[in-house]
Amino acid sequence: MKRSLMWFAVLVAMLAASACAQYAKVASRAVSTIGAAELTIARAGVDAHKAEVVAVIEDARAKRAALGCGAAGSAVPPGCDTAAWDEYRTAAGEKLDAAKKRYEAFALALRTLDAALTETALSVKVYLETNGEFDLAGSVASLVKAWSTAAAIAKEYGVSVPTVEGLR
Amino acid sequence: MIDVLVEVAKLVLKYGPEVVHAVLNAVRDGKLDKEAMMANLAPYLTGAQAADLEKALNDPELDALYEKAKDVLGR
Repeated sequence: MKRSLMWFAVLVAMLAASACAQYAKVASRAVSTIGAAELTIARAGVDAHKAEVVAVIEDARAKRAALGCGAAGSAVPPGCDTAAWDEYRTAAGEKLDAAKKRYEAFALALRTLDAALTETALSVKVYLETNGEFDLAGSVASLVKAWSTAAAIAKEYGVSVPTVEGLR
Repeated sequence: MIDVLVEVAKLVLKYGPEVVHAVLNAVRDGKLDKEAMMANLAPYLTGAQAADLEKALNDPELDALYEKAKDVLGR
């Protein structure tokens, strides 16, 4: 009886170890999947922001010409409506600054996500190669939080963001 | 049945850490596809992913566009 119970205990322990291994696999897959999506989102965000800046440039050029203020870098012609141009360029400059700030927040969110992914990768490595602990719940929570932040900003750029819920 | 579970619990408590440790070592030694897993993680462990991300975020074309916008707006 005692012997069979001991084997049963070994089986339970093996199941526990198998669960740990499964967790490590899940985390590894999650890191890889999110990582690939992260770069796609970064590139899409950069493209969307570039389009914003291009729109500001083109609109400003058109406005400048319409107000008779000539081209950028050239001397201001006598007929230029400088008051209207100053008002316009101040507003356009503020719009550009706001877009740049939003892009910087987007970049920061992605860098934070990348740091969370690196931390998870290190945790899995420690689990696999040493006798270290593996806080799967903590790692996943950090990833989901960082992912959600990045995804919220990415959506403002119209970038489609996949869910990480299935990776839990 | 409950008696058995109690005994199992006692045994797990008694042998648990050692047994789990031994099994974990076995897992680490090959029952897990360690190479595939490490390949998945390598970009993060080597910093390659961070480098790729910085490259994507710091698009030189974007800086050129900022300069062009400043120029057009006379800032």
